[in-house]
Amino acid sequence: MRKPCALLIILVLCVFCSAIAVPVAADGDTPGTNVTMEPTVTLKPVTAPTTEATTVPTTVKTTEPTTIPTTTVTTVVTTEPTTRVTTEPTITLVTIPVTEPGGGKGYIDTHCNVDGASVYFDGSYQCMIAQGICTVGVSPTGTPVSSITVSKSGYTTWSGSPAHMPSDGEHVEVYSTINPLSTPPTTVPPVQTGTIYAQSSPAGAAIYLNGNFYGYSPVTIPNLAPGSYSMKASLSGYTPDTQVLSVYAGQTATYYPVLQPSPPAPRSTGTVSVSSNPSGALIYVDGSYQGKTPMTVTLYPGSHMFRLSLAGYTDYTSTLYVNANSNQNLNADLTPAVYGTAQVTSLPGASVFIDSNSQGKIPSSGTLTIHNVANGNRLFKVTAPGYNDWLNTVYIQPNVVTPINAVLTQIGTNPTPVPATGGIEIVSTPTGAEIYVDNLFKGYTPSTLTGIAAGEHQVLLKYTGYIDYTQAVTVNAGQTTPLAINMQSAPTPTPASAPSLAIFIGGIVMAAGIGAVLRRRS
Amino acid sequence: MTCSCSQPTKLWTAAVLVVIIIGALTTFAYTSEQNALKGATDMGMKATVGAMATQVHAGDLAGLQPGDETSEKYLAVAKSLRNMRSMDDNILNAYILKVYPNRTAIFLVDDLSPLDPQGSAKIGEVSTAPDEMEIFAALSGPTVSKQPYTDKYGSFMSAYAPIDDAVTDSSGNTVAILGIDVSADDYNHYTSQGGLIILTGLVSMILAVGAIFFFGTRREEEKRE
Repeated sequence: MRKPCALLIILVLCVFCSAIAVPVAADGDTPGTNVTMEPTVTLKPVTAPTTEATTVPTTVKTTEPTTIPTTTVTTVVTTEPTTRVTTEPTITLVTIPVTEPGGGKGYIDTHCNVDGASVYFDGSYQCMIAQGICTVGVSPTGTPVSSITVSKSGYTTWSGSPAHMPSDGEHVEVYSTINPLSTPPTTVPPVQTGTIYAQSSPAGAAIYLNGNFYGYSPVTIPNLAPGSYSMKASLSGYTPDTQVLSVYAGQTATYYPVLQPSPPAPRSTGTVSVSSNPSGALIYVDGSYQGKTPMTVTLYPGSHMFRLSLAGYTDYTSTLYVNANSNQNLNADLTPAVYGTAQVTSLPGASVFIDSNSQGKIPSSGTLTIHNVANGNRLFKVTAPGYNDWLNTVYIQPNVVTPINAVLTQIGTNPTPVPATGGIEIVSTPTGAEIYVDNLFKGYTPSTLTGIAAGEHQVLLKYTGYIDYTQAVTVNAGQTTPLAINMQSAPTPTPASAPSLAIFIGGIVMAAGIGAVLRRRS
Repeated sequence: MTCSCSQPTKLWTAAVLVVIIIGALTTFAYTSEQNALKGATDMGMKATVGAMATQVHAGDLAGLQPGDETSEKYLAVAKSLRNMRSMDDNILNAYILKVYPNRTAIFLVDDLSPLDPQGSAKIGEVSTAPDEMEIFAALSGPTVSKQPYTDKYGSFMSAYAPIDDAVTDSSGNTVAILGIDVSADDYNHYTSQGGLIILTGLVSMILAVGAIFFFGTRREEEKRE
């Protein structure tokens, strides 16, 4: 019996191990649709509790059957609109012994829970409650008491009536309860906003609130509506810290980011502190915009070309050799731009452009003089209807008149040979495939490509989920080559299945079997 | 301290201990590898969307209004997004969201719009992705979905990054969020590659148990002889 039991123990252990590991492994087969999402925890803003007086009509029904000497049901309904905070119920209990009416003197005993309360019969003051009771003698044959009122300053007023007048020597009990009036709640406007206090380590980090710059740490951000805020602390040389903060009304949420130094650059760098006079010039390093002066630029060691550009000033260019782990200063004194003059001679009526900015038309004299042209290389364009555009880059020298002769040629007599081109009209199934001609992206199908040089070209179509299609297409000058392509779906890869529980158990059974065989041999 | 257990009992006890130890180590290794794979994949997605976000010019998004899906301005941005994501076939969709302080996110640009106007998000459409907090947190830096999710457009794993107006506004304020979607199936496939570990653990168990019984019984035979 020992052997099967031990086998069973091993089997159970293996199932236990598999139960831990295999469900995670099965993710590979599980599409995202089966993934259950974690419950979203929404933090609700906490607002100060508001105390509001509620006006509740209190309706108390007392149904008390009396059985001695006859069964009489007395129902007293007291409807008392009261404004109160306390929840103490108003209980009115009237016990009326049933007797035969007669002459003499009877008594109405008015009970109340508050000493000092005044008792009124039909609006006339009768007595004051003492020791919880006030007894008033009445004539059974006189005018019946129709209403009894119990009141005291600062308390609610109770009103009721005896069911009947007492007979001679009889006491009719009346019970009343009055409650203290609620003091009007002090109206304190609830605090509707919260505050965030941000202090970074090290200090001085730029603090962003919901992606917008607010200030530099330490900083207090007041008057924030309760809710969540996306915070970021950013400091040069440190990895930015991000966090979502919850702000509650009347409270200050703290944001204490501890910034970690940025990982070191793949190799050492150097810095160049760039300034200019006047400041605010745009900084370009090796043609890439870096920012405005003054600023420090971090660069890899080597030679770098700096260009500072500011409207109204001549561009400043300089080449610096940046050394690793060192800082250099580059202070540029920008000089006001120097202008020259261009004298364009061309066909009268032709339009003249400098750097794509219109300068006017050639007058009838055939020469247009343009003053205050910034010195340097400028692109001149002269156009006229029926003529080919004239384009040329001309260097304008400062304080010098530069003559430019733009000779326009009529369209059709263009001496410039135009290379023979053709086109390719490409349609595909499905549409929307990316078109590449000679590995250059040209657009999406369906499309008609023009301006393709005559000759053979490699056309490649790509579409997600389909096999790339490649074909050599010959383009003839002046012709459009049609190309209809039916793309083939890419085979769906069989997801790699994780080792199943069956394999796992099988392996354990095999191990146990080996053990059993060996044991039998022994 | 002398054990009075019989030899078979010792063998079975040793086998059980081996199974427990190897099983625990296998589970630990498998879980660690899964976490590492998921972390690496998430980091890759965040790096990709972060780099893509830097290529979107915030000024191009200004003034986009519902109904502008066919405007040249919209098409230019959509084409730019499509070109960027075409570098990686695993990225199924790229889109730009405008996020409000109440965490509502609406679509500004969907790169699928020019090709599939009916099946893509319109300008002003509210995002129904359950990544509300991840999208909101992306106002400050790249984020990634906690896990794959399903919405009306399919099952995805998404990454988000802020689009900063760094060029025209030196303070680098965030004007929108760029999102990219990766197929949930692909994501699960890439992050569930631990089968070899389980197989190794299983084989180790078999060999260890087999060795225990083999050498144990052999020793017993030698004693008898």
